[in-house]
Amino acid sequence: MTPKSNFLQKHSLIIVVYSLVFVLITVGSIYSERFLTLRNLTNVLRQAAYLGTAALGEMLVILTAGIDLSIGSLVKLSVLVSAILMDGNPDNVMMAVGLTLALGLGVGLLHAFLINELNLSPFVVTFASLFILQGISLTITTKPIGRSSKDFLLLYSQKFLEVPIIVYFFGLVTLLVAFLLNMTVFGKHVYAVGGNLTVAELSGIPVKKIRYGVYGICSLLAAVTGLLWLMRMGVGDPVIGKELELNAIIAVVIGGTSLFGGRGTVTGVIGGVLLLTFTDNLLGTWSKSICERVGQGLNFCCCCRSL
Amino acid sequence: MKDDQLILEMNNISKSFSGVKALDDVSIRCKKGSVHALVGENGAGKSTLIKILSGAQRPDKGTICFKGKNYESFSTREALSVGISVIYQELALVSEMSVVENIFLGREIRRTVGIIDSARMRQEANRLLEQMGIKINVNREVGELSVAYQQMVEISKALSRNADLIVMDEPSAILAGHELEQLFRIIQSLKDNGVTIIYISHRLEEVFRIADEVTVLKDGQHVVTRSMEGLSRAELVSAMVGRKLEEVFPQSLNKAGECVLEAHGISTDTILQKVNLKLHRGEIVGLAGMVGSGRTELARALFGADKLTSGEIKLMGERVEFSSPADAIRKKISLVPEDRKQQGLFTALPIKNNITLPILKKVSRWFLLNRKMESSLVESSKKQLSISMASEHLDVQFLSGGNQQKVVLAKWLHTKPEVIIMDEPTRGVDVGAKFEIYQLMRRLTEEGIAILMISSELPEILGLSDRILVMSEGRIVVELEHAEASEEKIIEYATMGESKAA
Amino acid sequence: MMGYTESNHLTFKKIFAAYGVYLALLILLIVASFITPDLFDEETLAVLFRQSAQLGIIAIGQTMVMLVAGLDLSVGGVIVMTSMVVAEVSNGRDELIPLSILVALILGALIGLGNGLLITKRKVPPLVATLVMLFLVQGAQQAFTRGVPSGFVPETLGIVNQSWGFLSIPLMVWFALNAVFLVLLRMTPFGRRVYAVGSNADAARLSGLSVHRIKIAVYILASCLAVISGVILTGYVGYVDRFIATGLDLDSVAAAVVGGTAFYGGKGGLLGTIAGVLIIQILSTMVVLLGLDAQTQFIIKGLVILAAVSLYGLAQKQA
Repeated sequence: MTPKSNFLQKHSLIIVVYSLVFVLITVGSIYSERFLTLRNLTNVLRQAAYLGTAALGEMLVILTAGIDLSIGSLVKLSVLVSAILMDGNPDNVMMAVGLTLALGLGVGLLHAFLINELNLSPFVVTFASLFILQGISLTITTKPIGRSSKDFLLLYSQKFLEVPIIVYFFGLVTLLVAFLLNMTVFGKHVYAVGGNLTVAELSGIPVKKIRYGVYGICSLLAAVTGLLWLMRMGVGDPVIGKELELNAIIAVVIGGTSLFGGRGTVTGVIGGVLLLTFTDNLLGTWSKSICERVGQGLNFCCCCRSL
Repeated sequence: MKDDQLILEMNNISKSFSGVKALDDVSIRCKKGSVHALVGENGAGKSTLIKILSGAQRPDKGTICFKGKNYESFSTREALSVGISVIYQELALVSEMSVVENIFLGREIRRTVGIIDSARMRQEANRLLEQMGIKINVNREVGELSVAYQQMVEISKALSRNADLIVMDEPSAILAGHELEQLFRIIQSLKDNGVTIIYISHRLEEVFRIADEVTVLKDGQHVVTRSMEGLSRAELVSAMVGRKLEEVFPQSLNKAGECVLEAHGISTDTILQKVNLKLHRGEIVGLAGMVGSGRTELARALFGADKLTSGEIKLMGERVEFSSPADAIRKKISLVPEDRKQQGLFTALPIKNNITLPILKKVSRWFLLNRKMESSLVESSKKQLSISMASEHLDVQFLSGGNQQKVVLAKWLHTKPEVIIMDEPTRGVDVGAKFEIYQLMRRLTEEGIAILMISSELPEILGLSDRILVMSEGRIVVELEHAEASEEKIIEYATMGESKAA
Repeated sequence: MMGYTESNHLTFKKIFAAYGVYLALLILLIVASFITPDLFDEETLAVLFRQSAQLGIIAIGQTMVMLVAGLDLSVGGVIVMTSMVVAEVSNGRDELIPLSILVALILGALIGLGNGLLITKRKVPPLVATLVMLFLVQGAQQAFTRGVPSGFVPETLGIVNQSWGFLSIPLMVWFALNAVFLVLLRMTPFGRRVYAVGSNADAARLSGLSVHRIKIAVYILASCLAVISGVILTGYVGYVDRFIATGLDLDSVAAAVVGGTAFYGGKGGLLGTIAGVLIIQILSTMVVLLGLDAQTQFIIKGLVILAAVSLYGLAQKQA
């Protein structure tokens, strides 16, 4: 029997995605001279960090054939909590960051607990969580509240060698997740659990622990995203986080990750994130929304055909 | 056989499932470093024995002695750790992962805490494959490999666990031609390395080729364990079957009428290869063969559940094309599937819903379902088939196997079929209900219905069929008249390899 | 339908699974009569019923979709689309109202068709497929209106919200639709087939059902029901608002889940959903009456969903 596919076929989706990104960049540079400047491109990358960090977390969960619908609400909550705790005081920064991250991790572990012990589907658990976290956020406040400290805020615009440090940070997170997935036992087990749960169990893989891991990291990254938003906004604004989970899922799926688990790469997800971000960035207000929507929709259709 | 040469002894193993005895006081002994064949017809108890050996099931009685140590039972983990590896027909691999990842699944080689040493894993994987004389790129995704190579990955997996005993469950079922040779070579090299192999197969010529010893099971009981030396095929076959036909089956009136269904050269995207067959009014045609010989595939092809890739089907002389079971049903063909819980019934729905589903039009008036009409229909089924049910509202999952099967039949009878295909009609059905179903089948043929019955129970096939077709490797290898058929003959043809198929 | 167990006893678990949600509703009403007696004021009831009707009509469609193991997240978009179409086509003129509703229904049916095709022919998971349709619809909207909604909603459309005491047209429409669809699901061949497909799609196909056709039909119906709800909403609000449907999609799923309809299909039904809708709306209203933050209802919804699913899960294991 001959091998079913060669390099091109196997990676067709990622190639398509990155080609589209390339096309968009080209279009952008034609459209405006300022597009292809380092400044602009790094700005776009910084923008990508917001969707990207959340998407990387979502990817982990989807790889195990699960899903997390609550990350939008969690980001919202994280922004609020960190803003309130920080309250403009630079001495509070460490504590605020620490507690927010702990909150994120805790929520994720709770998700995994419910899924593992009560045998509930990830869909239902995170669906309910979406409501609950949203509710908690909006109960705390419906208007912007709290303040981040000045130096925290500064981090947003800080640059190193002309590149915003948030971009470096995003790069770091990407590398860490890639490392986790490709080089650790944990990563292999994540793919196994999503690829074939029965075989994974038979092989002695600690499925429950893996779930704690992926849901924990996913929510943790959502909390991180919240902190990134605080850096940008300076205040805790409950408007943040709308539809984030959907965009993250789209980015992950466009990037070649299968919703059924076991298949997907970090490269692909980044491609998806970049595609969405560039699309978002390139177009003006009204055209942006249309094309964003239509584009996302069509992307999906194309992707599903090749999946 | 000296005791210290034995690697495995299973002593007095008994196991029952819901009152049905799958294994009855079975004992076997395997010599170390041998290729030990395990044969028996469908349902003889081979899978149950293997599941007990692998730790997937616990025996009700009996002990296992492996490498000199005694065990009452294992867990799957324990079995693996003492050196027993089972390779099932449905390979236990994660298709999205690479060869090397699969080989070391759950036991990855680590460089430090939590971090994988890919280089060493690749090295080790390559070494294992070389040992078997195979070359595969270990980074390839397992899902992309041919089934034969996937099997080798599984064998490597077993080897990497330092298995002393590898059980192969019908390994040749998925292989073709030269791949089989490759497998035999690997088995030989395993033997040379001191690994013992238990080889389950219904292809007797393979057994004669590579096995050193053989154990025959029949109806859950141990028949014989002996060396292959001096054993003839006839002796082996007769050990596998050779039982007295005790049951009395309703006799056929032998009034087979006109030809209702004809199939010429049909194949589908499965093992089925250019099958021809004819069904006549009022006859029961038995379809025999080993598991995997293509019987169910044939049934599905005739029912429109699978698309034909070649050939044609004619009903009453007219050519028909089925794009879905709905078409077949309209043309008065019914299928009682092998797996009634997954494919034949809606277990979470009430009996009446199940029975009336294909004929909802008949129980409705002006677009609304009519309770009275439905009840009377269900009642008539209940009487006709003697279905024992507390109420028509009872969810089907609460019925006994025999009654469930009757519900499936009832459902189809309302569509007034002319051809009924029954795949393992009495599987999971108690003795009493079995005979009711046999009588029912006879009654139906008297009304002019043609029945194609797939069965792994030879007494059933011999007792009920007017004609018997035997399948092997996706082909019909012989047609036997009722009078000339015997268990030995059927098994003889069913275990014929590709080379000998007519 | 009440299920009998092997021993022909109606065990508590089975009853709970079938009608537990009504028990919960009853308990809720009793609790409400103590802590928020204002709930039973005519005015409050009027609002409660109207909102329940709006959610309820969508929930009918969502229940059917979930019965075939699907999900429809495009309903929000369909409602906004309806609102825009009504405004554009009628442009303030009363006599064009029926036409505009017809156009909206046709578009809604097309969206449902799109959902159904993506899910059956292209085998896209329902979550993804309906989201895609949602995006396409929203994109089309944006393109069409260029960001500025145009057209006028005729005032007469407000008739659809006429009320007498706590009764109102929306409530009656919901009631009528419930009756129609209850009959459809429980007493017609189509309904039987829907349950069969959701219960075991394999067996359904082998029993001669056209699984694809049934699923597509269900999605089309769901979208059309969303259009109807959209018409009512538009009549109430009086102008085109991009955000009028916010939350209704998720709420409709929540209502169905609380009412006992399972995500995996084949289980549940409209009777439960009705109670689910009422429970959700009553809780929301109570939150307001108690002076709590309106946003608390989110938390409560989430907890209720979790509780419902866990209880149903337990009931099923032992039934």
